Amino acid sequence: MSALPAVLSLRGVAHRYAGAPTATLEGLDLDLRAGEIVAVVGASGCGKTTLVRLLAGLDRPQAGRIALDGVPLDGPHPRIGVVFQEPRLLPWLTVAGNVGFGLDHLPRGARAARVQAALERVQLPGFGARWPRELSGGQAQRVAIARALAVEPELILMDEPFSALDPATRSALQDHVAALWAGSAGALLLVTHDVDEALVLADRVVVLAPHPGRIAATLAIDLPRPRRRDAAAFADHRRALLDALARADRRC
Amino acid sequence: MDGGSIALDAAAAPAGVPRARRRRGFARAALPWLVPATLALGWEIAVRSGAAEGRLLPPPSQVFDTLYALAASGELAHHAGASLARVGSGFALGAIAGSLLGALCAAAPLLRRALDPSLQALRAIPSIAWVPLFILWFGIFEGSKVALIALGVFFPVYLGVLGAVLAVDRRLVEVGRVFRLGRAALARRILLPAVLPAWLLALRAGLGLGWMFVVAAELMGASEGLGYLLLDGQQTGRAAQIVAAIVAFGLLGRATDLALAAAGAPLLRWQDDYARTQEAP
Repeated sequence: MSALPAVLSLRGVAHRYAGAPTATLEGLDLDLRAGEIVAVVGASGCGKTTLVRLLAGLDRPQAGRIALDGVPLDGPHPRIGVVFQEPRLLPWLTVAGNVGFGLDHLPRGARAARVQAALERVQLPGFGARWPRELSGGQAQRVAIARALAVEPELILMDEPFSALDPATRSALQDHVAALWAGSAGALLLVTHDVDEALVLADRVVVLAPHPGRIAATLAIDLPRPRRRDAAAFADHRRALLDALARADRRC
Repeated sequence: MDGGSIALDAAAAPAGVPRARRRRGFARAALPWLVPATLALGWEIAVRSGAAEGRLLPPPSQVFDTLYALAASGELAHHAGASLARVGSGFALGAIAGSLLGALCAAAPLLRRALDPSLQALRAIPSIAWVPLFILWFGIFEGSKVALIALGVFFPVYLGVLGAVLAVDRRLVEVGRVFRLGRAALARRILLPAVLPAWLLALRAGLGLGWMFVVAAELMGASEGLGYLLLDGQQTGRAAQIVAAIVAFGLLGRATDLALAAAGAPLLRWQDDYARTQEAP
């Protein structure tokens, strides 16, 4: 694993909102390798969403360096896909139109095939002609994932993508994303405040401490996949992660 | 959920509908006509029975006779056509200028700061106040009338477009940024569809004002147009002609508004709004 070169690397990344007393993020070092799933957890206000916005190119860091395949990032990158906290589907486009939104450069036939494939990967084949208003919350978030998958990025960022969903839908989607990434070459950076979500999905969990946001601990999760939430080893990891979170919180 | 199932029931009604349901459909279609028909019938009876004097407010039958006579002689089409042409060209000018300036001011904060206060100040002036100046500038014929209508259409369209673009959901704009849309693509693929409902509404408000100002323009002196029929009816003491012209104004205004709404409807099928949850009116 560590032999693979880093897809994404952060060195000394810092960010402060104008007029804020403390930095949102400070001195952040992080590497992401191909096919790796990294979960970033932490209390609210520790800069999780800011981290996603920096990596998505929506905001700029004030210090430090973010590089994708060794090339510094300057704005949104075609090889980085984003799934926001809310689905953010464009209501005036059908599901197919939304999924194919980033495929404008392809000829019609190729685009339709890619849209179809992406919808099948999120288990919504036959939903292409629907309007976003006709979808449930879970379906809409799956369409948002399909929209990010359709451009076949090297890295997908997810910002608490399941936090607005009911528990049953949430755990079903977590398992689904875990299956999607099994054997996939794309990396996934998932921001969450849900400990189980991090443990079901991640190869590595990064714990952020707030004020200023910085990395407090990194835990390797070497549980076999597919992961069972009721396994004894899962409970051990959960305890270790909750401890790390509590320690990170005390340090603020 | 409930509203949805009601709408589904109505839409799914098969061809062989039971008579009771068809009668209910007729009642629903007739409902909007209940108030005007009752008033008209009441007035007709009142005048015919001698209980009321019909000279200043003629009964419906007389108004329809006048409308029919005007239509048969071709005068109605001539005057309606003249008014329609004025509203048409004034609306086109005002709507284009209002849409362009509204969009530009929304996209460029510097331009907005430079231009918007002046436009807001101009908006505070009642448009009719410009008429003497417009007559000096554009003459007493079509020019000044079209200018007045265009001015009336301009402001609601400008305000509507400016406000709608500024109110576009930042989160949807970010979706465009994530997919690296340039300024033109962002405008075409995110901003334009997002403002479409508000834009259509602003155009309809502008069209309504266009009809208002064509009356004002024609009352101030015209040799043709429905406003001329109004004035002519007043000067010759023919109240029926005045009411006939008013009815023609109402019908034309409503028809053009419906046409504009119908032209926009296919573009707005995606909307998820309160109206969709109600029964079809």
